[in-house]
Amino acid sequence: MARILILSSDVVRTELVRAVLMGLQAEVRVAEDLAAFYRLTEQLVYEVVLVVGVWPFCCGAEVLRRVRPRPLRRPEVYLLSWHQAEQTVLGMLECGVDQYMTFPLNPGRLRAKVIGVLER
Amino acid sequence: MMVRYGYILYIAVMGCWLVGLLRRVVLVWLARRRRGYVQACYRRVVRQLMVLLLEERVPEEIALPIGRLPRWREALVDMLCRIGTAVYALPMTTWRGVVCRYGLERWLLGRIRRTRGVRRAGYLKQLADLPMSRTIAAEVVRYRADKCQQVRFCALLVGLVAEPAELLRLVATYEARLTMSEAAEVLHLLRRRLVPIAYRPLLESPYANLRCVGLAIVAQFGIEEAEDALLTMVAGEDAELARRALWVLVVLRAPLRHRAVRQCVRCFSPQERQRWMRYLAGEGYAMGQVRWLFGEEVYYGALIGSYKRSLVCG
Repeated sequence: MARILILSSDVVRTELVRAVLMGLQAEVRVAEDLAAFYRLTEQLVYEVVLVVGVWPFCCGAEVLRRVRPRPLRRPEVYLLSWHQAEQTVLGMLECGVDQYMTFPLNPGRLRAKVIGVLER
Repeated sequence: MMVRYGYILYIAVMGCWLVGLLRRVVLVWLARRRRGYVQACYRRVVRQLMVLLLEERVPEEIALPIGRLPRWREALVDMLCRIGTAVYALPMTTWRGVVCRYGLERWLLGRIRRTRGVRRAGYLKQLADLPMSRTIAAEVVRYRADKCQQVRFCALLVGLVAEPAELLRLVATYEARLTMSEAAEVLHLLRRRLVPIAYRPLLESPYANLRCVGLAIVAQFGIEEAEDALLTMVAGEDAELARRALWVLVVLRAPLRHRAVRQCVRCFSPQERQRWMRYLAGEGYAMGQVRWLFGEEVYYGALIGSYKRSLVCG
């Protein structure tokens, strides 16, 4: 079964993303802080990682380096954030984020993108 | 005898201290347990609410396990507002069904009536984030004349939500000049309600508030094609709007070598000049631009040296 990891410190947004992914043939896990996130990424490999907010990237691309240790398979990293400034978006894409989606979200679109990744 | 009484007093004091300590430990443990219980209830309610909204359940089927949460109406309003602002195109029937089922509009109106100042503004903002009926919006119109500026603005937001077709008229006729954060709030409302707005008519509007909203749109979406309109605004008579247009030009990383920009900048006070130089240095403007604008090198040179970033705007 595929695995999806959500990194979010906010209860409402975590449950929002979890509800959007409901019913998929995938196991969804949640990390509320970076320590839990690193612990979960060390234990298992994930197909999709959803990061809510840009706060994990305050230390640069360390988050993605830990999620994508070689030679294991590279998960898709989606970032969901309120920031819309061009510099922020470009900075995150340069860090290695695969998709940058801004709030307000379209639940159908997010679900379709995750399904597309899981069906590859 | 005295020694015995001393021992008794000592034991009594130590006993009281121990009881106090034990009481404190028990209270902390109970509070932590209750906090964990409340958080678990909160999560359960949010999850069910999301399921209701995403599955577009009819209002008759709505039944949330909300009663166990302390101050459950406040919690439910907070959840609905946060979900509503984070997600597009929620099913209005279900969303409105939840609001009506739990009497949230009337409850919020009661809170608005009984509070003052910033608290009242907070409740008005929450009302603006919920789908409301026109009758409720009509009851809030009187707060547009409130003493507190935040209350007036939040009452305006309620009006904009209730009558999106009147958005431009309401913003244009709002008495006070919109601040940048207020213009951003209006813009956020436009995005949530999927109201398409062209920026150029806003920038060229005779109403200052509509021009503020236009500036917010240009800044947020990085519309470089609006540079000519921004320069016209910088050269205009309204000093406040000229400064904002200048700020948006810097956000767009546009070259600042225009006479209008120089004339605007020459009117700055010394403190404003320093603030602007710090801002330009932070955005990566090179010495050449600043020398042309301000004619000052030493202060700006020190700023560039202190900012550890590459210069991007020559």
